[in-house]
Amino acid sequence: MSLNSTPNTNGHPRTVDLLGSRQAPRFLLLALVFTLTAIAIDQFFAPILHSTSPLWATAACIVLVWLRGESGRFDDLANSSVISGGRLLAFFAAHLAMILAARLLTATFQPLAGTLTPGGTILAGLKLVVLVPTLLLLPLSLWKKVVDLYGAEFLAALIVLITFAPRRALGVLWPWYGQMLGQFVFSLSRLLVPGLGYIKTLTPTLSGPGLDVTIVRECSGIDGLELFEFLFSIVAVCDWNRLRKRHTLIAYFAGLLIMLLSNALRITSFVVLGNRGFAESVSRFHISAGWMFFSIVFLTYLSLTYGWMLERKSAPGVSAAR
Amino acid sequence: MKKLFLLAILAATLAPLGLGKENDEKEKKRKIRATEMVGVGIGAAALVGAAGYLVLRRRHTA
Repeated sequence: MSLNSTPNTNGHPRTVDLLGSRQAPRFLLLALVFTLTAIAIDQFFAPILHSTSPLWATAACIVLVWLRGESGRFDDLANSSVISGGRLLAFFAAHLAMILAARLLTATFQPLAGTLTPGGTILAGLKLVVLVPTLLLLPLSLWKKVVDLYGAEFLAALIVLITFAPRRALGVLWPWYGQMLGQFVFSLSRLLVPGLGYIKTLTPTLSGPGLDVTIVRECSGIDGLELFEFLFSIVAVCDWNRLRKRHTLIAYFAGLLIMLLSNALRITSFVVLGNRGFAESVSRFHISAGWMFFSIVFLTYLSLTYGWMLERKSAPGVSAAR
Repeated sequence: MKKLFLLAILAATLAPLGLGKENDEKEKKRKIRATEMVGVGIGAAALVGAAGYLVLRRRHTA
């Protein structure tokens, strides 16, 4: 792993390697670690608050801020002493209040928890309130500075918070998305399979002369999306300081769309092959072949976009970590 | 080391197929559910994807 000495904004040299700087402001890391711990405690004592999204988002923020470094911007602050005892007390008191309120309301909200109904979705959104007490840990003016400097890291954490639970989103959208997927697959497949029929139900069926293919919710491409998010997060973590953030953001959302589109093509291939004499093979391998397909799609997509996402190599001595 | 790494990827790639075959041949003995099959497959896919990324990264870093 190569090390390069690059100047920071104050002109002081800082050490950057392929994994990034290790000089993140301690007060910010502490605030984030307190948040992660408090959320875990909340969920332990009030299981109705259980949600992995805020945990993943906070963890992502910690890792990315740590990789970015840049503590030089906060040299005027005594780092960890920014979080006073009073602020810490208010923070934990807010979490305690949330635990008590959640336990009190458990009986009311329990029937909605985990359901894909509008009520269940609103409840899932309300669970994100566990992140709010974090604002108490630092003065508002300092939060503004922090967000200004670590905007990309906070945006990445927000994306993790919103998109790293695609199962719920696709589940809620399934009645609409399932029909769109079914119609799209049908439109493509009927060009190659004469006599193909479309049965419009919650799980649409494409009825062919050799094989009927029913598109259930598990075929929505959710596995492909989760695989893409997981692999893309590895790319983001390993290359954070070398990535052009705007390009990475575009590549991330475009990649999600590509995975959904490729899933539609995958199902189309099942319909076509299944009705062209390969019904037995399709029935046998359609599950195990899916992951292979998604893996190939991801690697192809990454090989096309990776160079575009990376910072262009700059002159020696100039930081390429932004 | 490189060969060992490639062998590990190959083993992970073929694991779900092997499990499926075993399932058919010894149906009475042991069954693997579709969800488990998907889990093994996604795990192997993640491994292959990560390995592919590392190769790509190495090319761009060199």
